[in-house]
Amino acid sequence: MRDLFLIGFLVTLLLSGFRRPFLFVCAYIYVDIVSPQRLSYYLLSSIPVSLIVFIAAIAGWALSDDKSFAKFTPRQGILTAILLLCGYTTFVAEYPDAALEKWDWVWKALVFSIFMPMTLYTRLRIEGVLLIMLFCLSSIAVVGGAKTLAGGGGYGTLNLMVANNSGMYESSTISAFAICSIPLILYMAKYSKLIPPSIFARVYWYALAFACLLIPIGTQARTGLLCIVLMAVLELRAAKRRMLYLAIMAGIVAAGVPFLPKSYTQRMDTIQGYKADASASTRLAVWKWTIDYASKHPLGGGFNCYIGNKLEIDMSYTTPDGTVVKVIGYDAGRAFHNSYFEMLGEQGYLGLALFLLVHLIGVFRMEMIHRTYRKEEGPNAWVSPLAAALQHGHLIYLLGASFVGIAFQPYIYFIIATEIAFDRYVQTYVKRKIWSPFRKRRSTIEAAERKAAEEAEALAEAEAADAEAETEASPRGFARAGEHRRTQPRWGSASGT
Amino acid sequence: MIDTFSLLLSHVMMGFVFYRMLITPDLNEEPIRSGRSFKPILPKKQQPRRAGVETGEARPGSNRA
Repeated sequence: MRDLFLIGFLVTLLLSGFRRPFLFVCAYIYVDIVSPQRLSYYLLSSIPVSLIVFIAAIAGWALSDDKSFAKFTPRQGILTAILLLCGYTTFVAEYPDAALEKWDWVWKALVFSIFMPMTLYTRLRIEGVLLIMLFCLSSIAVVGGAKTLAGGGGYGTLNLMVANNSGMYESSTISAFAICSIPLILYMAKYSKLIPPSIFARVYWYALAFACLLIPIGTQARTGLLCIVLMAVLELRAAKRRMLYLAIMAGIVAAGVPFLPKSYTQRMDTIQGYKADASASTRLAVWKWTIDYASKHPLGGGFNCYIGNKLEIDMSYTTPDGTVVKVIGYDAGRAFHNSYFEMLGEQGYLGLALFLLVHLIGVFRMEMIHRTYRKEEGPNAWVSPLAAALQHGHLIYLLGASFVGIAFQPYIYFIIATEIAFDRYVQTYVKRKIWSPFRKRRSTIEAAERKAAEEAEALAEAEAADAEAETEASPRGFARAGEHRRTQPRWGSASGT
Repeated sequence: MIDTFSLLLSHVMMGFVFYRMLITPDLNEEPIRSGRSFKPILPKKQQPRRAGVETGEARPGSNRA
């Protein structure tokens, strides 16, 4: 039954794409996040749905969309550089089979993030993509939130519709992305044009934000708790009534903490001490190994190169009577558990630099837009809140990425693509000057104008000199009058001469 | 049960957004604004009625001989 429903939805979506080809882009986002082929049992799982929709999205744009907005931006250039670097490192990877397995989905995420900004040139398109992303996430978040409320949570035990703990369905990954989506959910509750604010819409959006908040509790991922704290701080920055916001937050914490399961509070307590905690000690050992590995392989070892690591883990601890117990553990093939080290190990120093550059530019540009339009009212009142929501989501991701290997998760690349498109949209339609290093400087423009004026003046002088010379050469007196008479049209003639 | 409900809810919401995008005329072109802005006209403040001709009350000092 579920299969039939998913197939029906996808087919309807693809058919409507023939009327509005932009819907293919949304369909790709849907397929990438929800993965209906993973949720279904027989038919969809045997079809390369993702590849089909990917081709349809690009073909739809190529055949029918406006290409005047298809200018390449510097961030798309950086993403292209990352793509080429990933291709190179996969080619020379230390573990080619494992690298190819990851490359198989990474290239699509990167190519799509390079392509997506070209299609997002109206406000409704930008908003539509964000809405589809949020609703796709909601299909996982609502399950997690409802099961957490029903008491079905637990680290690694919360069932999010699919049995395998990978991709967006991995507990720490979904925790980070659920929290990073909350600023966008709050934005949609107030400014959405496709779903106009109403009492029902607001109830839905706030319930979804609550479900997203429950995900880190249900999955008991410590990453999620840190993301929640950062989100609370960032939203305080954006809030208009800060004291009211603080009072509400304090009320939620005071009312919510006694209801948290004991297993959750125990697990969160392990954030304080890292040595006795096997997970944290292993991470530190992997990061140390990655730094050594990068010094030997400056261009990276290709995707999934971590499978070659052999670790010596220091798990020493002090007993209550002060005795230091030295424990050394051994492990091998442990994942990076950090996106920055993931980039460093897999793509080398260059990959890490490009990764940081593309993210930091995004955060910086959103800050510029947010500040420039903060006091805007009327039809452009939505610009600053959207910039703030995208920036907050991005910053929460950057924090979450310190504890999970999500450097190539497509969700964040969709956010980056939306930021690029939104930045260009603001510069095209809203038209208030925002500082940009790529815009021509005023002095350059003035110098060019001065030069053009001088050239025009010189040309006018030359023309005047020519005209004077002609006047001197032309006949005078009666001869000139006759010449003049001959060139004038005469009344009554058929030809007009 | 929870899985099915969540999946259904998210797909209904997505379907609604897809439908809105399908019918809206502004999806492929940004609507051009006229550039004119209108000052909101509020109801004018009622002037306090003056004693005398308007209200029929006797104005102070009118009964002076």
